[in-house]
Amino acid sequence: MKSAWFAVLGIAMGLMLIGTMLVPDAQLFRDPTMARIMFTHVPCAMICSGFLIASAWHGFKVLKNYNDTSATKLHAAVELGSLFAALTMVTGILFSKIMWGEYWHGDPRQVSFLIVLFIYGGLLALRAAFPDPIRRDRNTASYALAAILPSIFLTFVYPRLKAVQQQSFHPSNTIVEGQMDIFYSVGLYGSLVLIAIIAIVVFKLRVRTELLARKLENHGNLETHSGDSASPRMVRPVAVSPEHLD
Amino acid sequence: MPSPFNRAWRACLRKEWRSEIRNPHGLYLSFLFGAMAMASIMFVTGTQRPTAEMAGGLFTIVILFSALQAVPRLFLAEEEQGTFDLVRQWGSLDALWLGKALFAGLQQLITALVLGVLFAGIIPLPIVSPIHFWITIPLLGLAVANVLSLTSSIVITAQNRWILSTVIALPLLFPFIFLGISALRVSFGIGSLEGGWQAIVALLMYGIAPLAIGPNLARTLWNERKDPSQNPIGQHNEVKP
Repeated sequence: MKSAWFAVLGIAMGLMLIGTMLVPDAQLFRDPTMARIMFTHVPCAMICSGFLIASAWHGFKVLKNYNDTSATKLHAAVELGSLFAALTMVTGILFSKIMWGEYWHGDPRQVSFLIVLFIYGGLLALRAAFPDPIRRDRNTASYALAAILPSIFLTFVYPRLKAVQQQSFHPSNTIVEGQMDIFYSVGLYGSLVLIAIIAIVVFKLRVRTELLARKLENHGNLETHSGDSASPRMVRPVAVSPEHLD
Repeated sequence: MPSPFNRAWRACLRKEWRSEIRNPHGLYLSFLFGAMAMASIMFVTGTQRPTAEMAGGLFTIVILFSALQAVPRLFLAEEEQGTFDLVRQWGSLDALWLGKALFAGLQQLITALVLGVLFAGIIPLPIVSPIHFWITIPLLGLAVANVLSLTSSIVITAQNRWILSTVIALPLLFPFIFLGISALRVSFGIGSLEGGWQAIVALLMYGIAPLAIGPNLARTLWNERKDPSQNPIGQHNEVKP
């Protein structure tokens, strides 16, 4: 049943790719054929923002009531969010070179999204900085929660400020106000739905594998732990003087 | 009669203040870092006259530089000196965080005002709206201190905590940079006064937010008793023995 589901998803993805190639060229762009990058770029940016909110939500759950499932979901959201942020950045930089002539145009939206990417970078760096898994989960959760306000500002508020809109090459309300023609609307929403489904499937797989990995890690502990022995956690390294070594 | 919470944060604030008076590392470091950043900027710009936006940006960066080492030091030095465990015995963890964050705010407030006087004297631009200038500067200092207090409390037990505290704070500080520039450019005569006030109010709101979330995070993160790893193994994960 699952393999059939994956086959359907694969076929749908293939059809979507073919469909986005068949839509007419967008004549208003400098390179009309390459305007199709938006079918990947826009959904990746939206899904990346979704994962930021998801990581904050799971972070809140980790802090409120710690459990492995929430912690695993938090890490999966951070990992996939980073991946989609990187994809958005790469496709955006390519689009910028093709349409505006420079890889880095200093567009306010490029800068604000770069900072979103840095937030993900901070989450990954923070995760790597704690050897103890529970501290790692809790501290990553705290940062995910603390970063939600700046993330909302960078993603939803800053690009829509009047001064920023005047400077930016990015259109602000094209999608919301339905200014795209029917081919591009269908292509964009179709891509968004399919990429979102793939993201959710990968997210669930990542959560399952991580939970299994944690179970395996704790397997030895289950066999040896008697419940009344000292805590297995080392609190602080102990200094040993040379005379004790003799 | 003050509650235990109020007693704890006041005690923490007093402790930080006294240790600062005895050995003025924080204020000195903060001022020196900011002054050096300002001197470097003046050296780079040379005789060129900066625009209002650039002047606002430069001063925001100076404030940022002055706080980047001084504020995390308040938190991270406790762990490095081995006094963090002792401090945690005093009172509720949220009160301790608040005491430290308030001291960080006070420290940055003083530094920002001193650097503001220096900047106003050095920058070759007339300050058209002094009220915007003198309200934005302390607010910027306070807001940056609050965010850095928040991030420092997260990395207090991490490896490479000094670098990490800066790395994770900078993305969160971007809105402050933007709002600081928006408010300061008005004080140099660019943009509407209303826009400047809006930026100041946003700066205030955004600066207060870490004070709301910080104590709660400290209560969760610094509490070793609630650490599930100290409980029998079956309680902190979902594996049934």
